[in-house]
Amino acid sequence: MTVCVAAFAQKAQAIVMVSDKAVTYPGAAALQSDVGIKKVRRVAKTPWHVLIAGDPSFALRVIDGVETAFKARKNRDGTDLSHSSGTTMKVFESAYQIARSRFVENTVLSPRLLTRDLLYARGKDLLPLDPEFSSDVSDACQLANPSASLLVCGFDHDDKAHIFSVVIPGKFTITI
Amino acid sequence: MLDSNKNDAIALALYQAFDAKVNAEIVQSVGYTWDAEILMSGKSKNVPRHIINFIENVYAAFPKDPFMKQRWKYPRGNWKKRLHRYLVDLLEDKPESKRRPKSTPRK
Repeated sequence: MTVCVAAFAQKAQAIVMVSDKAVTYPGAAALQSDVGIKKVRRVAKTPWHVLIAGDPSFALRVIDGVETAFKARKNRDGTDLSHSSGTTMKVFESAYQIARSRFVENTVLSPRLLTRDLLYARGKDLLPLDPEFSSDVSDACQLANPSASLLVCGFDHDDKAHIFSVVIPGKFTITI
Repeated sequence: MLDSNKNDAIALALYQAFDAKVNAEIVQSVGYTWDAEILMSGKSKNVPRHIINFIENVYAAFPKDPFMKQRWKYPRGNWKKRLHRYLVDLLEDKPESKRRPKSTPRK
């Protein structure tokens, strides 16, 4: 388990971030070790930093999604979404949900030779799925959750400090 | 439990964050080594290893029970002020030689 702590300081002009450095290799007998890993990552060249807990590959996918969304919007109309805390939270939320959707497709649907369209937007030319099977898959989708949480810290355009977390299933919680 | 206030000085906030992490070590899978970073508008700084060791030593030197004596000789003098000054200087990009706290224990 990872511990990530973030706290405001200096009349909310600074944010202190602390995390442990342990890595766990899952398996029948899980191995754990303190290593030189850094669990803090800066989001591209924005003022936002992310403390990562849980599955790092999933968390990095979310951060990549956020970076792509920031870049795409900047290239499209020059708007820097990272300037506002509100839009940053929404971008993180959306990136987490997209990454989770891919995670569910890879872990639940693909092993059953299904896609999202074959399950939810099934064409009229196909036979309907067995209701019991369909219900089982739907339950499995609901239970398939990546064990990753993000604690996002940074400053908006007005130099106001913000800390918020993004957790399963992709919703953010603001720290005041 | 992290008991912090947004008006806390950086040194106190850093110590309290470390204290919260230590309390979480009751969970078996939490690692002992740790990393810290300080963010300010427009800049971020890694807290160097010797300051992390310094804070660990402060934690070890001052037991929770205030009636007990300080366990170790260090940190000496007004270490709180020096630690705070060090962290503020770190954020102001002052050179390393001028800002290293003198009470850091030697190994």
